Amino acid sequence: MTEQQRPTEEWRYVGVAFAAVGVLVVAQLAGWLVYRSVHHDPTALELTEKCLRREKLLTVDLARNDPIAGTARGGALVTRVEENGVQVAIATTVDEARQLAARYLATGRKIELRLDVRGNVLYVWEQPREPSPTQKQAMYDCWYQ
Amino acid sequence: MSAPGARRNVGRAATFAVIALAAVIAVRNATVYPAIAGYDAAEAIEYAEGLVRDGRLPAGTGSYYTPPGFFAIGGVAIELGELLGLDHPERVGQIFNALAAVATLFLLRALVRLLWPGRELLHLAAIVFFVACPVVMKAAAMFHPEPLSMLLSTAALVLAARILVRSDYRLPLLVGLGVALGLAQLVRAWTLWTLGVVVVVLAVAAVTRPHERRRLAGALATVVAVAILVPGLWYVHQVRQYDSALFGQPHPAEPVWSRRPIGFFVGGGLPELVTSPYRPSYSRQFIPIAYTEAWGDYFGIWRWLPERGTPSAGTRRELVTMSIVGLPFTLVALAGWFALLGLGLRHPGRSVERLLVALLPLAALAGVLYFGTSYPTPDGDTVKGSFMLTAVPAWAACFGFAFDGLRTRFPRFSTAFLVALAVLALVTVPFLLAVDQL
Repeated sequence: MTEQQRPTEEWRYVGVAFAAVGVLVVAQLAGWLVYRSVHHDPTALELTEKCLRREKLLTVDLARNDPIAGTARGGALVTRVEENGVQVAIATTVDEARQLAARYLATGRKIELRLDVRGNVLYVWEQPREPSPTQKQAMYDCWYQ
Repeated sequence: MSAPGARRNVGRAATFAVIALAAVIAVRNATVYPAIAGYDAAEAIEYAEGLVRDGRLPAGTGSYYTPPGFFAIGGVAIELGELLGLDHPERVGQIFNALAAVATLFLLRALVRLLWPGRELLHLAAIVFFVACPVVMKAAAMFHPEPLSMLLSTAALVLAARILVRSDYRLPLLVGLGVALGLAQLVRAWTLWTLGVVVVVLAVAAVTRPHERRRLAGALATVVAVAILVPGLWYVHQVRQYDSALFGQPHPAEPVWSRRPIGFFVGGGLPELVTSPYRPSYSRQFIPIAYTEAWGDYFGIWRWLPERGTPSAGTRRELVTMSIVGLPFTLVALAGWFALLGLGLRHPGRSVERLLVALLPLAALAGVLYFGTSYPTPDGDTVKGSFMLTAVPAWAACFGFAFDGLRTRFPRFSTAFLVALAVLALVTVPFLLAVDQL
């Protein structure tokens, strides 16, 4: 079929389809504006806690006995992965995470082996050696910042 | 105004120029991109080496549920790479994937020529979409089965379209179609939806073409029989070993429909889709993850690594740019898809072969949505863009159809549309080039 013989009906469908896409875009934008005005996103701490409980089936508690983790602006929690306890401190910026890490390193308790910083999140493991890859991965699977 | 013949020649020349550029980029990427950075790379390399050196399949570990088609070729490629003394012998497998992507480009051209003969600018637009969509170049640079499954799936679409367009039901063509569909299943289970689409379209053709009904019914039976026979042994092996032919992984006990909240299906990821299009933004929303995986680097395998925290300022700029550039491509492709679906529903018997490209994106979306819902992960890991790679040629055809429709409906702006397409495509080029260190 040549260009001149092309059925005009085809273009009617294309026009309607573009209108439908336009409606979808407007609906998406409107939906976002409404959602933003009525909904408050869960915090990184809430997401981490929910993920560890629901996806990893771990017991989670708030970190109460660690004075450094207690100052993390995003909050802190403790859990236990494969018999190794871990404290999760969530900073709100990379700078804050760096400062928290520096405070931990200043304690000098072989902390460099046990401390792991990933973005804004600090993991302080209980056992005085590097955590195993599977222990680390379990925590990284629930990494939010 | 230029003559249609001259315009066709320019369109054809431009199409081949784009294919040539894509070939250079794909092969160059395969020699630069570190294979280990790709999706599930360690598992893929281990699978290929074990299969070719020891003749063993993974026993319930790694990618045991992935068929061995690509890994057999990849293992031979690694052996060849070692014979050649390469530092990274898996590079030969990556180059194979790059060539598979280039071969798919030629098949895409053949497909759109069969579906819309003589419309060179439609063909050009489809080719440009395919090349500009980064999910193709990303997969083509990796040591991964997806590019080969895309090649075989597209070959099946071309054969099915040829059979329907020319009413050519010769046995070699039918067996060829069945073999392509069967081999595709031996590479990746995702290609089952291509089989489903081909079966549905042949069935629709049988219903709407009364004079050819008997031959179409025979064709359908032949294609299905061969497509089941070719991968049959693999499925038997999987059922015997793991009680499941496809993906026997444990999943939450909840019913499928309650494993994800409604936000997973309708959330658009705004404004992070544009302001910070990378993990862990909108990690519990399907549409923005799928979009960013197609047009950017959500999981951090192409421009950044999640282990090193968030992307650098320069990388963030690049990801934001790609997120914006992908929007017009995606919206036009969506319009083309809707239009083809509408035409197919209203007039199923008219150009039934075009249903092949209208139904494939639908089947792919349904398949990936089902998988992402059945196996919920907190980081959205079950919504990788590469899972829908086999549908990209169909999306490209949808884009070409809508772009050509727009251009023809508003002829005064035809040149402006072509210039806009060229500019958008050129903006994507830097992102299509792989880096040697992430």
